Formats: sequence, structure tokens, C-alpha cells
Amino acid sequence: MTTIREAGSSRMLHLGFALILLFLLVPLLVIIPMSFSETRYLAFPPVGFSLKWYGAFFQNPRWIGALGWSVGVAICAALVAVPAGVCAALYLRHRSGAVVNVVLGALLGAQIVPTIILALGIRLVTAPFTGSLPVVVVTLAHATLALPFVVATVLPVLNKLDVSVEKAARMCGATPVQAFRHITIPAIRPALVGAFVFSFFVSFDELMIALFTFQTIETLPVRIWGEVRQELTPVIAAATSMLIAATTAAVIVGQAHIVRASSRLADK
Amino acid sequence: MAGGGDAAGATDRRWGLENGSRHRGNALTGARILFSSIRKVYRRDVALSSFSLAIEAGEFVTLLGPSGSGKTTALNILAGFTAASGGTLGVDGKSILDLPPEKREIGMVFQGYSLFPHMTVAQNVAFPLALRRVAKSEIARRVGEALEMVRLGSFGARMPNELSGGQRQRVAFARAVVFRPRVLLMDEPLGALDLKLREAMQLEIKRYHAELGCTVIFVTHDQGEALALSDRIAVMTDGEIAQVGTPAEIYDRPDSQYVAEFVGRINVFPGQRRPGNRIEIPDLGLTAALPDTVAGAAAETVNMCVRPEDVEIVGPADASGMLACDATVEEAYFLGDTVSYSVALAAGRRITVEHQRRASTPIMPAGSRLRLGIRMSSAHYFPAV
Ligand SMILES: Nc1ncnc2c1ncn2[C@@H]1O[C@H](COP(=O)(O)OP(=O)(O)OP(=O)(O)O)[C@@H](O)[C@H]1O
Ligand SMILES: [Mg+2]
Repeated sequence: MTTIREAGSSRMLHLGFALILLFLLVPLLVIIPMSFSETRYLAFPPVGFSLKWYGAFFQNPRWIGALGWSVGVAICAALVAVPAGVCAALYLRHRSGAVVNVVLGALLGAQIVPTIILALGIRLVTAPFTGSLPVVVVTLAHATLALPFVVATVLPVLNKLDVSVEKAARMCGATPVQAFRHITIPAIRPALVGAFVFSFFVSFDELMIALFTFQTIETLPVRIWGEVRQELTPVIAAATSMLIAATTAAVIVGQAHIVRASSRLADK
Repeated sequence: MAGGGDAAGATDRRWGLENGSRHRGNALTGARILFSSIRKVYRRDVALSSFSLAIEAGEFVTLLGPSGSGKTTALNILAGFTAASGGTLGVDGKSILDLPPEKREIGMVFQGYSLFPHMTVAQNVAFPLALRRVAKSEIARRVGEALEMVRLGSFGARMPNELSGGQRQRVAFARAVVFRPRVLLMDEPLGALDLKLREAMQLEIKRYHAELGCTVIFVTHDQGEALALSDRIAVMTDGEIAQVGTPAEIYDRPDSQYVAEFVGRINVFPGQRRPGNRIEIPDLGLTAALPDTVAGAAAETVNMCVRPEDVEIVGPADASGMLACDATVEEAYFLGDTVSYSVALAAGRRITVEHQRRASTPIMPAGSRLRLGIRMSSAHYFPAV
């Protein structure tokens, strides 16, 4: 009885999952072909095949500038998020499930608050300022959004690393700092790489905070947003396609690192 | 004159240095360890209540005890991972309780191997030497030697997760001794291995100990392992040492019924004290003289304990020097070279008898009646608690 019902509900689950996946994929399947269109406007189905919109992207200093800002902010955000997340994970290591849930919940809070509210708050605080302060604030805000991903990536790997590995390092003659530097960090390095990649793209994809806070600076999502509101050229499709490709590649690379991180520690 | 004095001073200093380094060479002989009344109290548990143990230089001592008896706690206090609540601990007469683990120069092998997952076998073994800033060429030589000793000479380039359990254990061993510690600690190092490998590794560990000469403290809850490996065994119970002695002393002359039951197996016959330092054992229908060791004890009930190998299956006539009694087989456990019989005596008590056998020896089925000879001279008497 139960098995039949379970099989039925699991089939429903699969169907639902497939529908959601399709829903998510359709826009991608539309946008990527459009970026190769020869027309001067966004056309679906695309007409002909050309790489000229990709060329246009790389020849336009505004697009390149936006790409530069996005990469810069994303690297800085990841450089903040990963060490902060590692500290949080070290604190949570070996703590009871209740403590872990409370802290992770608090970290996730920043994501549950609609980004637009977060963005509005940041805008109101930073409005009087120009120069580097908004950049710093946006970077920190992106780092905050990335933090739970870092903790969720690093914590399970850290928990898998037997404490006796670090104890063994101490018995070999390592001070606590040496044990952390030479053993703990390298032992979980693949997870750190994965966390860095995820953090980078959390920031790289983020529109709302950057849009509200920056007055003169454009990041890639901000530039796409601005372009969409003015004229719909296939350059947007080209930019978006590259964003999609980069994000997908990053998820795969990041995930591969995480899998490697735990498989290396798995069989002890 | 002044110049001569300087020269003499320089010579002295040079000699001093040489003496010093020669001394360090001798360090391979192992250190003396003295635990004096070490206590460890946790919020809910007393992990060690008064742990005192003197270990000679180069000795192989095993802490043997059931789960939770404080073996790991004692080892962690010596290693420096756990602070003692009281007592003193000296290595070669110097207190080490204030030193952090990395300053104690003690090697340690953990149950889970604890190899560094991101380093090759050779890098794992080189780590203690690299921390001590040993020259590159010297590191290569000593890592090679250590890996040769554990028969993994050609495995230097492997990663830990490319090794079998036994190989990992040997790498962990090489890493623990490569910096020539005078004390080596092992906490259930063979716990994760299967039986065959365990036995092979026991022989290996004996060989390493003979080769290195360091003082070893070995923790296990496997009595067979303890008996096979140790110079001396400390049997632990509830944070205390119940008895310390050579394997033969522990097995042949247990101080308490607890030790007798924990190390090896034992048959217990409760008895009542009778006037004139005698004991009456209703199960065997006899009265025996109590040895002086228990004669002074206050307890009214005294248990007579006999190991299964001191109970033999005998023919009708040849129970010479033994106490004969009749019994019925209840169950037979086939163990290959022996059969372990659970038998009921006439008075109803059930005991275990081990019977050496050959291929031709038949196994007696349940219900068989047989005659036992109990070697009373090997019996132990313990006041019941
Ligand atoms: N960190 C700790 N906090 C509280 N109690 C502890 C702690 N470590 C050990 N204990 C307690 O101290 C006692 C002795 O523990 P210990 O680990 O020394 O036992 P053991 O002899 O090594 O047992 P096992 O064979 O299971 O490893 C146990 O009752 C245990 O619950
Ligand atoms: Mg233990």
C-alpha cells in the first residue's frame, strides 16, 4: 500500500521538478539563440548566425567598464565572505545542531529580507556619499549575501575533518597556528575554492543593491538593466548569454571542488 | 696563559656540545614516565580518580579497560590535550604538565590514522621534520628510513586515500616515530582493522618497539592484544587502576575478581566462610582451606574462581590431584582447536569448560553426561563485594 502511494507521489515529485526545470530553462533557451541573430533588434526565432553582438560587447567601453566593476566587486566580496564564513564555520564546528541552526538561520535572514528593502536601506544610508564608500558598502553587502553559502559549503567539510588530524599535527610539533595553516586550511582547500566561486557569483549576479547604491558606477547587471530600459539590442542577449555561461560553469566548477573536498576526507 | 685558558674553554665548550649531542643520540632509549595521583574531573564524570603509574624507560605498557574507564583521558593528559584536575606527571623526572602538546616531544598514533589528507605519504612523514627545520637531504633520508621500517618504501608518492587501512596505520606509525620521540602513545591503533590484519600489525608493532627502544603506552580494550604485546598491563576500571603487572601476573594471579573476569574467562563458585579460615562451596559439596591473602578479609561470602582451562574432562579413574564432579553438557561451542562446553553441575551451577581437540575428537552433544576434574591448586579466592 504505502509503497504504491510512495511511488505515485515520487512520480508526481519528478514531474513537478521537471516542470520547474523547464520553466527555468525556457528563458535561457530563448535568450542564447537570440544573441547570435544578425538582426539589429532582438528577434526570436533568430535570423541568420553572427558573432557580431559579442564583438560589439567587447568593443564598447561601457560594457567592458561594467564587466570590470562587476569582477572587481565580486572578487572583493568573495575575499571578505570566505574568511568570514570560515571563521563562522570554525565556531560552529562540533557545536550541537540547535546552535548551528540558529546561526545559519540568522545568516540566511539577510537573504530572506527582500533584497529591495536591503537595497533601499543601503541607498538611504549611502546617498550623501560619493567616491569609494558606496563601493565598499556594496562589496560588504554582497559578502553578507554570500556568507551563508560559504558556511553551508565549508561547515560539512570541516565537520568531516577528524579533529584527531589536527591533534596529530600538534603531536608532530606544530603550534595551533601552524596546525591551522599547514593542515586545517590545506585539508579543506577544495571547499574554500568552491565557496570562493559561489561567493563571486552571488555578487556578480546581484542587481538590486548595486543599482540603488551606485550613482555613477555600472556593474554588468546594472548595465543590462539600463540597456533593457533604453533599447533592446542583441548585445544584451550576448551579455546575458555570457553571464549564464559563466554562472553555469562556476556552479559546476564550484560543486566539483566541494565534492572533491568531502570525498578526500570521506574514507578514513 | 690567557690564551691557553681560552683554548681550554673552547675545548670544554666543544666537549660540552659533543656530550650534549651524544646524549641526544642516546635519547632513543626511551623516557621514564611517572603519573602520580592524576585526577580528571568533568562536570558529570570523574574520568580519572587517582591514577598513579610508574613506567620504566623503554617499557611497553598497555592500559586495558572497558569503555569509559579513563584510558584515553590518561593518554590525553600525557599528550597535553587534556588538563589534569590534580596530581603530577613527570617525564624523566621533569614535570611536563605546563608544556603544550607540541613541546612535549611525544609521538602519537590515533585510532583513525589521522593522516593529512592533502599530503602524500612522504610529505606526511616529513611533516614533523620540516617543523623542526631539519635539512632537506636529511629529511629525505630519514623519511626513507621510516618508510622502509614500516615496509612502505615505494609508497612515498601515494595519497592517503589511495592506501588500505593497514598501510595507513603504518604511515601513521612512521610519522609518529620519524622525529625519534622518546615516548610513543597509541590509542586503540588497531581498532579499525579486521582480525587478520590486527594480528599482523601486532607483530609489526612489537618489532618497531624492539627496533626503536622508545617507551610505549598502548591503549586497548582487547585483552588478547594486551597480553600479546605488553611488558606490563595496567587494568583499569572506573578511572582507577585495578592491577598492574606482567601479562602472566595479570592472568595467573589476578588481584580481584574484576581483573580475573576482564582478562580471560573465569568460572565463579560462591562460597560461605566457615570457622578456621575455611570456605564451604555448596555447588561442589566441599569445604576448602582459604589462602592467607583472603583469610583476613571481612566478607562473609568468598567466591572461588577457576579458569576454564583448569577444568578438565576426565575419565572415571584419572582425576588425580583434581576435584572430580559430574556434569551435563548444555551447549557446545565449536572453536576449531577447542570446544567450549557450557555444562551444568549436579547442584545446578553452570560453568564453562574448554576442551582441547584434534580432528578425531568427537563433540559431545547437549545432554551428554561427563566427569570433570577441577584443578583446585589453580583456584583463586576473592571476597565477594
Ligand atoms: N570531554 C569530556 N567531557 C565530559 N566527560 C568526558 C569527556 N571526555 C571523557 N569524558 C568521560 O570520562 C570518562 C572516561 O573517558 P575516556 O574517553 O577516557 O574512556 P576510555 O577508557 O578511553 O573509553 P573508550 O574505550 O570508549 O575509548 C567517560 O565516562 C567519559 O564519559
Ligand atoms: Mg578511548
